[in-house]
Amino acid sequence: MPQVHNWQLNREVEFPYEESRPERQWAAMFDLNKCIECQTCTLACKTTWTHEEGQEHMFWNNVETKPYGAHPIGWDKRTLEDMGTMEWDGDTYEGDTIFETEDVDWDDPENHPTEERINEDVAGFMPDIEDDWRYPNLGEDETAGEEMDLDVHFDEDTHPIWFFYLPRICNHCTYAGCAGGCPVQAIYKRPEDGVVLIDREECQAQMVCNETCPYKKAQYNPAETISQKCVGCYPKTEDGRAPQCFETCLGKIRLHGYINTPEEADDSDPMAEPTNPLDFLVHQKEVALPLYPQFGLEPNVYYIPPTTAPVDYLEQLFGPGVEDAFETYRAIGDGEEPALEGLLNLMGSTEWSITAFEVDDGEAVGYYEGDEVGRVPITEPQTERDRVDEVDGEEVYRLDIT
Amino acid sequence: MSDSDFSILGGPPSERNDESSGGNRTARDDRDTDADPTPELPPGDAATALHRARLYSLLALGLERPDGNGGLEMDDTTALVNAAAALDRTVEDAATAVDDHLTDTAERKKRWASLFGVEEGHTVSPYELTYLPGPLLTTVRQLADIRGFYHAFGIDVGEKMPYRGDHVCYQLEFLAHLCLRDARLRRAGDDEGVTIVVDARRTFLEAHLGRWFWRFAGEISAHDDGFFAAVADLLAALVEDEIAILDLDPEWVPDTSEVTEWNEGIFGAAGRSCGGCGADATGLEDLEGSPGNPRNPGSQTAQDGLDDR
Ligand code: SF4
Ligand code: SF4
Repeated sequence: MPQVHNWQLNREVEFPYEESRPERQWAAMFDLNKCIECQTCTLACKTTWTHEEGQEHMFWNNVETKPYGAHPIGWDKRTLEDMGTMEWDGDTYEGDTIFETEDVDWDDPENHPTEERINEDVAGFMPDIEDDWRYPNLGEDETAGEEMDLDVHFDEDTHPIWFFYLPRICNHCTYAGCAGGCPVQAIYKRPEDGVVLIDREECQAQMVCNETCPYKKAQYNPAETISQKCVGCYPKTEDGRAPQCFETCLGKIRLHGYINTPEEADDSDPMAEPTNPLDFLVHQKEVALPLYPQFGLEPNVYYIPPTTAPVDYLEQLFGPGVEDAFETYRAIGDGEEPALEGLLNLMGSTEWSITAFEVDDGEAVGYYEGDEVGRVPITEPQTERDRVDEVDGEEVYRLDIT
Repeated sequence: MSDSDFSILGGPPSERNDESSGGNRTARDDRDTDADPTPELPPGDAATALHRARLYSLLALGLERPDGNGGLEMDDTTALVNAAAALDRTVEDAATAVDDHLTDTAERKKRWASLFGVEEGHTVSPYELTYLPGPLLTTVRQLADIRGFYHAFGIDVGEKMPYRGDHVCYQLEFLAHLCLRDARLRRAGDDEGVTIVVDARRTFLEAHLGRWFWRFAGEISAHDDGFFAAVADLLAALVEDEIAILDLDPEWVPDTSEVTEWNEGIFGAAGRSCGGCGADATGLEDLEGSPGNPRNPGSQTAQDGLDDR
C-alpha cells in the first residue's frame, strides 16, 4: 500500500506515518574525494556532545574506511543482507526498503508501533552494546582489489587497489527510520528545519530506534537510560553557523545548507544569480548522492562519490547516479564547470551555512540569508618555475614546479 | 492522542501532550512553585568576607613565581596572619607557619622553579585537569566550565598570563573576587546579590578547587618542607574551613593519578585501552558482521615471517 513519496527512489514508499515536510530541510554535502580521515570532525563532535559517562561508545560523527570499515561492526552489510535483492530500473528502485521488507501494511493504524506492540517487522538489527560499538576504527586503511605488487600501475580513474573514507553523521532523514520505529512516539522532526530529535522527556528506553535507524545513528546511553542522537548542532545552525564537524573539517569536504524536493528545487543559474547550493549539487548537477537511498528514508546528507573506487560498489552505496556524477565531477578538471568548481572551493572557507551562492567576476560568493559570508577565487593564481635550474654551478631538476 | 494522528513533524512530543491537555507550564512556573519564599541569607558577614578575600588573593600570590609581580613579601605575610586570625584557629596557625618559613626571594625562586617551573619539568602540577579522573578527551569540558564561572562574573584570564584557566592561582583569585563582592554586597544590604555570589562560591568550590586542593597540597608537601609546604597547608586549612562553613560535599578526585582511559563499567577490562582499531581484540572473526577480510596483507606477511623461521 503506497504511503509517502520518496523522490530518491522515484516512487511511493511505505512508512508508518503520513508524508509531511518541514519548512526547510537541514542538509549536507560531503565530497569523498577530499576526506583524509583526520577524524577532526569526530573529535569536534565528541568533545561538544558526547563526552559524558554513558556516551563512551557514541560517535555521532564517525569516519570509517570503506569497504571494510563499519561502526558499529557490519552495520550496512547486516541490514543489506536482511533486505534481500536490491534492483533499480533506471531511476526507480524496485527492491524493498527497510519498512517494506516484511510486507507490513503501514496504512493500518493497528500496525503502528505502540508500547504494547513494538514493531519487529523492519529490516535491520540491534547493535550489541558490548561488542558492536567497541571498535570504531576497525578496518581502517584496509585495501580492497588487487594485491599490492611492484608492477601494479594506477593508470585508470578506477584504481586496481582502493579504499576510501566515509564520514557519517545522522542524515536527518525525511522519513526518519528512528522515528518510524519508536513505540512511544518520542522522536520528532522539527517543522522549521527538519532536524530529527529524541525528546528526552518522552524517551522510555525501548531502544527500538537503535534498531530501526539503518545508519545506526540513534544510540542508547546506559548511564542516562535514554537513547540519544546527533542534534545537527541546531543551536549553531539556528544562528546560521555550520555544525561543529563542518566548521572544523580540515579537508574542507563539507557544505551545510538546506535542500528542497526536485519539484521545488531552485533552478536558477549561479553564473547569473544567487542559487541554493544543495539544490544545485543534488538536483541540477546530480553530482552529490544520498547514502544507501534504498533503505527508503530519504536521507539528507549527500556525497560526491570517490572517483578511484569501482562503480559497482559505489552504486550499492549511492544508487544508480554514480557514473553521471563522475562525468560531471571530471568535467571540473577540464574547466567546463566553473560554478561547480567555485562552489567546491567555497565550501569550508566559511564557518557559516550557505543558503545561496553565485559566481561573480571569477570569484565564488557564498551567502547566508542574503548576507555575504564567503568569497574565493575559482582558480587559484599559480606561478610556474623553470623545471631545470642552476644552483651553485649544478643543474637542479625540480619535480614540483607549481 | 491516537497513533494514527501522530506526525513525526512537529514540536517535542512532551510539549505537544501538554498543549492538548491545556497545560501551559513554563520554566518560570517551575521556578515560582519551587522557590523558597523567604530565602535565608548565607552564613557570614562583610568583615569575614573581606578577610577571606585577602587570604585567597595572598595565597594566589604565594603560589606565583616569586619575582617582580608574583610571590609574597614580608608585609604580605603579616597581612596574611592578621586576616587568618579573624577566621579560625587552624587557619591562623597555618598562616603563622607561612610567615615563619618566609625565605629571601632568590631562595624561594629556586624552590618554586624546582616545584612548578618548566625549568625542572613540573614536579607538582598546579592544574586541576591533571588530578581529574578520565582521559583528557572527557576532562577538557571542565575547562569550559571554569571559564564559564569567570565569564559569568565579568572576568577573564589576562592576556599576559601564561597559564590555562584551571591553574590554581586563577581559581584562588576567582574565589578572592567572589569574597570581595560578597563583602561589598553585604555592606550595600543587597541580600539577593549576596545569595548569588555565595552560591557561586559554593558551586565553584564543590565542582573545582574543593575537589582537588588536597591532592595538590599533598604533592607539594611530598616534595618540599619549607615555605611552599607551609603555603600548601594554609591553602588546605582555608578550603577545609570553607567546606565546613558552607556545608559542602565535593566529590574528591582519586588519590592517585591513575587515569581510567575508557569506561570499564560499560566495556569491561578491554575498556582500558582505546580498542579503536581492534588491534588488541581477540576473536574478532567471531563477531557477527565482522568484515573478515580474507586478503589482509598485514597478517599474511606475519604468517610468512613465522614460516621462514
Ligand atoms: S575533518 Fe573532514 S577531512 Fe578530516 S576526517 Fe572529518 S570529514 Fe574527513
Ligand atoms: S540517520 Fe538514523 S537517527 Fe538520523 S534521522 Fe535517519 S533514521 Fe533517524
